[in-house]
Amino acid sequence: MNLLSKSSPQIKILLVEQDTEHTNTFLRLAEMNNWLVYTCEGSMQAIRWIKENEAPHVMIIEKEASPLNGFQTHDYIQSELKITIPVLISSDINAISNNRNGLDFINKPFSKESITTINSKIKEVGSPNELDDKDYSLDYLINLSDGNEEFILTSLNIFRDSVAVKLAEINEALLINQFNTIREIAHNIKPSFEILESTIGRDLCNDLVYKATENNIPELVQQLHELYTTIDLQLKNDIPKYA
Amino acid sequence: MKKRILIVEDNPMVVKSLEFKLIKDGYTVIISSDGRDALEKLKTENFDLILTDLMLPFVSGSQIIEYIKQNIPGMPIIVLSTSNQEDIITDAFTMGVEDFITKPFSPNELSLRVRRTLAQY
Repeated sequence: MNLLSKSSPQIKILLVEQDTEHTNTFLRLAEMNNWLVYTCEGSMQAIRWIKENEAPHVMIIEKEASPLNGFQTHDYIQSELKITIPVLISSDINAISNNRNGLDFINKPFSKESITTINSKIKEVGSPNELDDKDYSLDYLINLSDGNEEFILTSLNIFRDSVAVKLAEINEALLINQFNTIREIAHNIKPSFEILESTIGRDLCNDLVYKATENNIPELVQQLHELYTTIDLQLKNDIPKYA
Repeated sequence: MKKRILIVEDNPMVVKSLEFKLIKDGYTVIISSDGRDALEKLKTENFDLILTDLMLPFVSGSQIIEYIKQNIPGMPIIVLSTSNQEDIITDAFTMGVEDFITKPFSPNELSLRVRRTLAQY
C-alpha cells in the first residue's frame, strides 16, 4: 500500500490496479483534480486497507483483480465488512453497458472522460454503514423464505437447540482451559447469531475467535450466555408458536 | 434431471437455510455435517457441485478440496466462509476453488453464484 498522491485531502480514492501504466495515468488525472489516491495491486490488500482505514469516497477496482476479482471484492466488502463504498469496476474492454448487479464501470486506459464518471459516482450516497445493534431480527429468515412460517419456526428451534449445545460445550472447555476449543465453537456459532441479525452476538463471537486473551474469555463467554438467554426469552415472548 | 449439490457444513442453521433456498431453486441437496462423511459421499456418489465450509470436524474443508482436485477434478467447488477469513479464502482460491459465499449468505447471491458456477461446467 502506497500513498502516491497527496495533492488534496478532499476526495479519497482507492485504486486497485496491477498495471503500472494505468496507475500512473490515473495518478496524473488525480493530480489535476486534487484527489487523494491510495493504491493497491491486489484485492486482499485492498480489503485489509479498508478494514484498517476510513472508507474512501470511491474504490476503483479492475475487473480482473486477484485473488478476488472486482465483483467478488465488492461483494466481500458489502456482505462481510458491512461497509458500503461506491465502486467502479475498471476494464480494458468497453464495459460501460455491461452493468452488473447495479455496479458501474469505468473504461481503461483512464482518460479525461474518467473524471466525469468518477465525479458522478462520488456524488452517490455511499458512506460507511454499520449495522445497528439489536438482540434479534427475523428479517433475514423472512427474506430468505418469503415468509415461510414453518421454515422460520424450524430455524428458530434449531437456533435454540444447537446454540444451547454449543454453549454447554464452551462451558466444559472453559473448565479445563481449552481456549482453542472455545474459539472454534465461537467460530461455528457465529453464523447462527448473524442469521438472527444479532450484531452483538456476531461481535462477541468475533472477539472470542480473533481478539480475546485467555484472561477475558470467561467474561465474553458469560456475555454470550446472557445474550442467548435474552434472545430466547424475547422469542418466547414475541412468537407464541416458538416453544 | 435435477443437479445434485453436496453441502458440507456443520452449523445446522446455515445448513437449513442453504437447503431451503437450493431446494426452492430446483436442486437436489445432500447434506454432510462433517468432513469425514463428505469424503465418504464423494467416493460413492456423483455430484454436480459442492458447497463446503473450511473449518469442519474430522476432515477439514481444505482436505476435501485437495481430494476433489486430485480425484474428481471436474467438480466445481464453492467455499462457504465467514467474515475475517481473507487469508483462508486466498488459500482456497490458490487450491483452485471456483467461488466463495460468505455466511450468512445473501439468498439472491447464492442463487446467482450456484447458477453461474454450474453453467460453467
